[in-house]
Amino acid sequence: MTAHTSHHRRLSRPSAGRLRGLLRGLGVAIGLLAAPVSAAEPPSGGAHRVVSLAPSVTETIFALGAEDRLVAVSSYCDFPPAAAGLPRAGSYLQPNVEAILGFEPDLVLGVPTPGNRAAVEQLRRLGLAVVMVSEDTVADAWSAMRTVGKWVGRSERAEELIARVQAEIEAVRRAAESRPRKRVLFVVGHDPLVAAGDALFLDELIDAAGGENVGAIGRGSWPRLSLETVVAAGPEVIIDGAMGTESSAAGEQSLLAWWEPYRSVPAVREGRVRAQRSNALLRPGPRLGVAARELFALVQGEPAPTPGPTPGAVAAPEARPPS
Amino acid sequence: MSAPPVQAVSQVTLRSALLLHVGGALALGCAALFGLAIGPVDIDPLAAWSAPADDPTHVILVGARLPRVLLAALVGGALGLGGAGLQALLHNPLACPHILGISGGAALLGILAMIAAPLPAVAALGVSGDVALAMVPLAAFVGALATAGLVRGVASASGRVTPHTLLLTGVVFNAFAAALITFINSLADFYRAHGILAWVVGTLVVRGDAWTWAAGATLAAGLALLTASARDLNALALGEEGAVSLGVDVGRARRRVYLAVALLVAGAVPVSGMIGFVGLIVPHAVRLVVGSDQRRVLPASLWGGAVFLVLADTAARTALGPTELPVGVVTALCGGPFFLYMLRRQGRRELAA
Repeated sequence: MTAHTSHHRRLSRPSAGRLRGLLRGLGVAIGLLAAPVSAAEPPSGGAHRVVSLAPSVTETIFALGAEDRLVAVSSYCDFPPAAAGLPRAGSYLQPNVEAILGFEPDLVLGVPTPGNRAAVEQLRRLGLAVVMVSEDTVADAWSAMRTVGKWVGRSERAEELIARVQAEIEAVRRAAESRPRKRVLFVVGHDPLVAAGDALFLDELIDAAGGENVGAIGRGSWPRLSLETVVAAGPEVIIDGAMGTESSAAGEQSLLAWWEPYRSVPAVREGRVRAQRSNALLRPGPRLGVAARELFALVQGEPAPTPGPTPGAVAAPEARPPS
Repeated sequence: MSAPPVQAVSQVTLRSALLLHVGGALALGCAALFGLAIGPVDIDPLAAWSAPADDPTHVILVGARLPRVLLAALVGGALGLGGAGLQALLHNPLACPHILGISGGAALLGILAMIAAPLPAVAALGVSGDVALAMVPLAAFVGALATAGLVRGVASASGRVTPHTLLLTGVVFNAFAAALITFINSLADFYRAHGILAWVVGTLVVRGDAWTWAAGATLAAGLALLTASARDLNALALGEEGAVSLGVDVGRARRRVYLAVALLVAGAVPVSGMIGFVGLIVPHAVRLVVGSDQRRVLPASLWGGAVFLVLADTAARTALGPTELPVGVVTALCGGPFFLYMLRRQGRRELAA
């Protein structure tokens, strides 16, 4: 079995390799900070047995029509629906090294997280091609799509996909341009108050949808804001995902109840605390355009105008507007 | 540790306990005013107090800061008192709800209840969301009590229970509980994961009046139980044989202290997670001031814990500007060095006791 031989290979490494391993780990750690991190060059025609460790990467592979190359995905990968039926290789935060080896992949694609650092390093040490793509900002997302496209032999389609999604976001931006801008807070948790920060793609999408991201006062991707800072900033729209994507009517009631004591906040006073239940908003992949449209609806309180046909559009299942 | 004659419930000690409560309340009042005045947003507290109810500064003062300060006082008092009770009972300066695994047990069952509450299966049982959430403090209490019993049971399986086996068992159980909570975290979705992580480190969470009342009520019950046990605890400072010779029912005293600590922890954990070091260092700090008579140490630890956590939470809210630090980080940053200082100061003699 692959797992067994790899284990054996690892044991037979020279013992002096410990320091080297350490240095290499340091190198990997430094490498992970740069984005995107690419290993060598893809085989001609791209990899054929791909394990995806991140939902956005899985969505990109489907959007590029390369899903037949996917042998396993992370347990968070649930879109498009066909992805949910694929074998699992551990979670987005904690990939399962043995399971991954068992799929005998020729490529592992993922997004660097604090939790998968060790596993990624181990997979590389075992000689696997591991490509990690950053996806914090919108620019990161484009370059991630490009990298994924290159590695699955779909570079051209990746460019088409990027152009299409960029056009979708631009359409949202144009629709929002003529409207007064609103202060918008996007939170995913109350205890503590975790908000979309300035280093996150959502910051740019909120801007496109006609909002000023209040969460940008906290630095980073998901800062924990102090409640009084939020009260002082007085957001006019609060997009609240604290109930998760399975929220119910009762859940939305409890969201409103949570904000109720902070009546000085315009969003609370004027009834613009809106539940966020779409996971497209947390996936910086091919559904970024969908996310921008959903944000427009949440910020403006009305659906985004239907876009005209986009030149060079790639037919993809996820292009349908939000329900 | 020296203990005064157990039978001497003189007017003097009663008066000094009363004095301690008055002084403690005054100190807490000062700390609370400080906590209300300080925060990442600059406001004039007096103007904010008299501002209209929908003015942002008023909301910041009354809606955001006041509940946090109140909660910090309740939780800090509960943890300080619980630590003092356990240290006296076990005659060991390392004892506290955290190290004995009691916080871990409470957090584990509490978090399970919290995760289970919104599940459709629970709703199908006819338990609505709010009622189900109210089960969390109860689950935490069961967890705390069960852990106390379990840790004690395991430690006594090898015959005589020494404080050392008890502490070791507690440490191991706490690590086990933390691992289980991390496991639950890895199953939880993105939205919940932040909350669970913050909980493990220790974060004050204002969950609404019902939970604050629950914390206050368990604090009062724990305080009453421990105060009633103060004399027994003084006797136990002489060792179990000594206490028995003074006519103390050691088993009953022990059960009372564990019950009191479980109550205190069950009130604190659902609204604050696993805040460390408060129960460990506050009793040490107050013993420096009031001596080792439990009738003084217990009330002083109550007020000392409250003051400490109010100040620590003020730092947690303020230090990093618009973003917040988990208060457990602040208590550990203060508590670690202070504990090392105490170790050096007291030498190895007391630890070996």
